[in-house]
Amino acid sequence: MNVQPTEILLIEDNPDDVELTLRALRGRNIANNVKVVGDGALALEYLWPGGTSKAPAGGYPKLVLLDLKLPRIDGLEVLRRLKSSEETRQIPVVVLTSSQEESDMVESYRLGVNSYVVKPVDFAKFTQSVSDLGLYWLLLNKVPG
Amino acid sequence: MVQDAEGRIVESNPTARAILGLDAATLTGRTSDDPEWQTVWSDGKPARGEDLPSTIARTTGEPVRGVVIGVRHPSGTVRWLRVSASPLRDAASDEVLGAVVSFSDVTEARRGEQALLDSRNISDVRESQESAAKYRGLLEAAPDAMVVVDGAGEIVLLNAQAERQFGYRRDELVGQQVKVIIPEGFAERLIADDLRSTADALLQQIGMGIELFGRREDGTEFPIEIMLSPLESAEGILITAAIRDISARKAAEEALRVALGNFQDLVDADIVGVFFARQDGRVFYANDYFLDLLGYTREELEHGEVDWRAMTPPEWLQLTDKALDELREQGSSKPFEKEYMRRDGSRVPVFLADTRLAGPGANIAAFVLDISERKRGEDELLALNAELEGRVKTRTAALEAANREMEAFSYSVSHDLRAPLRSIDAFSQILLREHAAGLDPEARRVLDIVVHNAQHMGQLIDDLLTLSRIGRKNLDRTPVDMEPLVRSVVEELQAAQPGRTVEFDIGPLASAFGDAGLLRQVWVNLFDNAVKFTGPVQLAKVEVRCEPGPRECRFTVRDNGVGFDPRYSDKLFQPFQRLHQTSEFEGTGIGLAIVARIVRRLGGEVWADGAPGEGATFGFSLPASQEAT
Repeated sequence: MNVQPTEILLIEDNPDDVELTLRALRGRNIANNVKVVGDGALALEYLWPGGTSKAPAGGYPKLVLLDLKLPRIDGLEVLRRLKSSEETRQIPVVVLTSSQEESDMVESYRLGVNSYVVKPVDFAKFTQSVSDLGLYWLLLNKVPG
Repeated sequence: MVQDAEGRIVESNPTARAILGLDAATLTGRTSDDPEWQTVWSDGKPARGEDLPSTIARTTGEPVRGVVIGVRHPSGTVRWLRVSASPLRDAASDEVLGAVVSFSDVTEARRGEQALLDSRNISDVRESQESAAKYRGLLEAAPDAMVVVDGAGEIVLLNAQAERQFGYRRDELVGQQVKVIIPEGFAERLIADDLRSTADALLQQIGMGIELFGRREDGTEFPIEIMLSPLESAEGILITAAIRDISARKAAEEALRVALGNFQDLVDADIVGVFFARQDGRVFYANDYFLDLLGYTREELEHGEVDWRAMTPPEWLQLTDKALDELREQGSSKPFEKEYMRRDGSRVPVFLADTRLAGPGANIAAFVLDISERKRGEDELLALNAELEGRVKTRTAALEAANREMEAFSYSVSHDLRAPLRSIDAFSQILLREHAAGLDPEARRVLDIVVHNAQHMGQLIDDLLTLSRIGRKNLDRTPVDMEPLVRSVVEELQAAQPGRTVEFDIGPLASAFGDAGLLRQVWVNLFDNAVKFTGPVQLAKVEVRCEPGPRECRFTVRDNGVGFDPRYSDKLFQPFQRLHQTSEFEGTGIGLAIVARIVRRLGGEVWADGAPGEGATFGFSLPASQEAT
């Protein structure tokens, strides 16, 4: 099997949003290898296979796009785990959500999110936002190590 | 003393022995005639045995009364005795067995008389110019009115004070009956009857203050007090009366009596409970109000069964003792509220004031008011308050629950409604862009409508969420400088719509009190509105004005746009109420509702004026300071 390193981990349960997000990212040729998981539990299983601190099969992603409202384990919990584990702390996490709730935003920043983006209803704006942040975090942002 | 038939003393009482200065053993067996006694008459002549009262009583069987005799005391001084003697008879034979002799020591009284009248003979007073002058001198020196009366009640002498007091000249009174100036009570006291002589009658009055009425020359009467003292004389007994006008004292007594009467009336009126008591609790006086209030009878009070300390419930004792301390230190206590236990055990709330009674024992006078009615009112008020508080709590809890539901609802609206909308919009646009070739013009037109409505609904959802958030948001309340705020909003607005030219005229704006973030929203919405409705106008103009006041500031935004029908002005501030068709002006109908909600939460009011084609003015007021909120 062709094992290319995972560039983006997209944690999103809405298949429409998954498709639209992938379209936006591909449109700018940003990510060719996006791993998509549909809920929080699957996300944790991907990042910590079998509950160990062994690296994922596709390697740690360079960027995590995270929806908040997820089945089973919600996005804030995933965020908390990502930012409190030694091996994942450096990975930029962007919350990409429909929620305009201030409390969600406040809590996300408290947990150490790198960016918080409210998905616009308007498709053009949505495409713009997603591709911009992909570009920024993958290509322009420099991380240590 | 009792003497036998021979005049020998057989019995004596302690008073007799004390006066004579002899013990019983020495007295027994002596006679009245004993030379040791050196008996003399009041004129100093030796008194012989056969003339002594006891001898006369024994020998004649007649009583003798009030004879003054000088007797030598063992100390060597002379004691003046007023002696009376009565025969002692055998009950069966009526034979005289002896005599009972009684006497009193009048040495002191006689000394006073002697000072007044150094005379052996009353004729000296009447006839001797020298003696009369001397006696008058003494009379005149007396502070009181003095009148000398003989045994027949005729005035013999008087002093200037007496003249003044009764309004007569001396010569008008001398020789007149004393009844002229003292109509009642004086002359009667002088009259001898079968049982007593004038001297004897008078003897009983000596030194006593007798209250009578005097009558002046003009007929008016006034209260007097007289002090009588007898003057022995060869012609009989004269009486010296010292007469004092006691009008002032009587008036004072009357005033006191009236005052006491008033006090008693007050106590008896039973509008307030009054009791007098000892500090240890025993109540020795109480009026009916108090007794009725506490359920005791007057008999129980008289039997000492009413005890304020026993009636005081234990939890009130400390407060009561504090009041008593205050009473001891300051003479009275500040009125306070306490409870008493009635005789039947029930409680009664009272308002109580204590004061210390004059005199020994530091007793208490207390005034007690039944405040059951007032307490009942207070209790009802408290119950009512508690009920209200309970209701407020219930209502608050209900509101909080509703708020929580509302939040959950907003959350799901924000999250769940927007996602499908986004799909509708996005996939429609993908069709339009990527599959345009396969679509005929009608299909493209319909898809445009779908996209447009999805976006409109997205805006509606956003506005609705803003509106609901305003209701839940915690407000800042700080002074907000309005002018820079307004200018920055206008700049942003103009930058966002480069195609539109709107002339803004911003007058001097006072600062107001509120939440800066929300106030920005107010201005944004009002200006959006103004810009939107001036769209069809050639020269769009917006005026921003302020009318400052001590309590509130009034701000207005006036445009020269299309205006509105004032009949519907109250609908403007309700959500989703639009006065224009969507085809004319885009909008969700929530902008002004948001303005109204923000302003009202900040303690202000909103209003709108306008007419079709004549522009519109939107206004709002805000508190000018924290105190005004």
